[in-house]
Amino acid sequence: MIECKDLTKTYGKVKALSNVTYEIKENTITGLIGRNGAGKTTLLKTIAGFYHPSSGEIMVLKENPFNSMKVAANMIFIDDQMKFPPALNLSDILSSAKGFYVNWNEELANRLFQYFGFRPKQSHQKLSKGMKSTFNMIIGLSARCPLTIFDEPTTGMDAAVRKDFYRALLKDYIQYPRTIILSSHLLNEIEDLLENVLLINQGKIQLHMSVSDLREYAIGIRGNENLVENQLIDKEVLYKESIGKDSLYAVIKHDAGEFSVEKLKIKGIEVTSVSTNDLCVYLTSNEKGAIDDVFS
Amino acid sequence: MYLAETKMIDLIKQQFLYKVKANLGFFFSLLAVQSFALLLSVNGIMGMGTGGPYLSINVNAYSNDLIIIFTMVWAFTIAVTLTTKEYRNYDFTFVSNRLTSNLSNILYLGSLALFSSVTAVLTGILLRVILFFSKSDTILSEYYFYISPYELILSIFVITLYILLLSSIGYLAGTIVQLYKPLSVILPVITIGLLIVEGRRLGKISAYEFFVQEPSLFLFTIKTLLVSSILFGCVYLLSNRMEVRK
Amino acid sequence: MILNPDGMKPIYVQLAEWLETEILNETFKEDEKIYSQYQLAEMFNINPATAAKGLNILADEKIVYKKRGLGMFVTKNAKQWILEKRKDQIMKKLVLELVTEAKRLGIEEDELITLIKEGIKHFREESS
Repeated sequence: MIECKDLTKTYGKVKALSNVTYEIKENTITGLIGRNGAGKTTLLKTIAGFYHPSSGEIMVLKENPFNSMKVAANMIFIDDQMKFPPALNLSDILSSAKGFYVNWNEELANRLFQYFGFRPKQSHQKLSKGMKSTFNMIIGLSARCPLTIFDEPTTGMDAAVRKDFYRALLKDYIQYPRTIILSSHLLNEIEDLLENVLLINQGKIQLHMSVSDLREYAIGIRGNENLVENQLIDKEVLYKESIGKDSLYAVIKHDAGEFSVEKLKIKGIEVTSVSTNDLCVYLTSNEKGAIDDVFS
Repeated sequence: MYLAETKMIDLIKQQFLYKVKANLGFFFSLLAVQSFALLLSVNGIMGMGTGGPYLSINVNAYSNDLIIIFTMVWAFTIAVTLTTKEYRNYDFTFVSNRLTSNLSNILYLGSLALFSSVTAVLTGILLRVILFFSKSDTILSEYYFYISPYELILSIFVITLYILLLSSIGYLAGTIVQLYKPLSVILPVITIGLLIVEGRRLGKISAYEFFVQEPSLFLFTIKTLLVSSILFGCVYLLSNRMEVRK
Repeated sequence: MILNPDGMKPIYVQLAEWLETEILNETFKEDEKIYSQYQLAEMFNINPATAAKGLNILADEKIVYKKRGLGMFVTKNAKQWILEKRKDQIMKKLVLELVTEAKRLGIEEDELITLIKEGIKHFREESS
């Protein structure tokens, strides 16, 4: 569905994306994870054909998405910057959307519309941030585009609405599979929903793997400082933190078969799994030190 | 997964309908502009008088020109508005590419030109009606007062072309300014300069002579359509690489 | 049943185990169709691909078999197989825990075997 090779995007001296290469298969849900400013939005807008690359190649549905009518007709991009003409109220917007999207499911749209408590004559501009995101989400789901892109769709949504959104997304995906890319900060909330994770850091792709693999990517070990340090020799250390007087917590890449968890337990070292959220934070941390340093 | 296969014509039509629905406010501004122009026109554009001890004569001339000019300025403004970031992005919220966005804008401006031309001419008739009833104690020159249907249609046709021309100028101006922001100051300066040159007939080629003094209807039509097309074409060339939804 | 996302076990493994339990409880009998990946996805609020992974574990262990275009079905004697597998696994796990703890407490191998023998003797005495 999407093929990206050596994609680079520069703004003046800043490289928003460098040599980004990956492939997204059709009918999958991929989470695009990264810090603010990592390049998530730039990447998504390039896929959507809103931006064009400075160099490198991007193919969506085997075409260059920039100015492609085929891609535009089969793609929808939902973010919190979506603007609609002020003269249109919410129900006007929905009927306009119906005209543009071949697969538009009116029943789903109306049901979601009622469920979330919208009124037909409301104005989009006057909605609160959370309600806007919710409404935009309704459009995104009901359009049933083969390529559906959500750029931080849950901004302003409260926890209950977010849960509903993920559930609605999953249910509609099961009923009508399509390629979905979802960028978010809340990996821990969406990881069950995702099939794959694309981790981006400072414009570069750090990781692209299934969520299950990501969960097993690393393990956390904790125990006496010396004991733990011994274990760290010639292992890939992703994170280290001192706890208390002489305890050390470290996160290391889990190369299966190299050592057994049992051995560590025997030595008196506690072994825990690392949440995908934490893992991504460790993997994308910069060298500028920890927040604690600010206060020391 | 059902892949949509959209034809360009369908997409342009869809965008056009969307714009008509979304921009109903423009019609209200047209109404306001033409009403205001009507109000000003009722006072007459020219008057002269002369008199002696037993007789005084006052001649007042009225014209639809003001209404038409106001409408042309209105169309220019609308065209510029369509080129702003906000309006361009409306297209890309749904399905669009740069070509269809421009073409649907052009189609929309064209239909606005026709519509506003009709209302301008009708307003002219309204002006005559107002004068007929308000100045019932004076003599109205029949020569220019009654307009034949043929003249009406001709007027509508010609005014539409003028408005379309102005729209294309506005559309191009707006696009240029979007691309190079500093020009938003420079362009008006150049325009005023050009108008002054025009007014004083300083240059060898005068836009006034080129368009307004063209006697042949056919040639006039060709000229305006051609120039409008060239200007719209320039917009397409300029905007085809523009990034959207930033 | 709520899947435990914080445990060491991957979600699809937990899912596979849950399905095994369902087979043990005869929710699905031999040659009966088991839940599809989509049904599981909806039931547990997870991505269908993850659910499919769980099903594939069962297929690999021959607990279920695939019928083209129809779905996954419970194999003959699957229940029996699962029972034995679990017995084996639970035992193995307990033994490993025992051995690990013994190592931690510094108990020698011979000492451990003596303890086990004593335990068996104690158990026999208590149950008769």
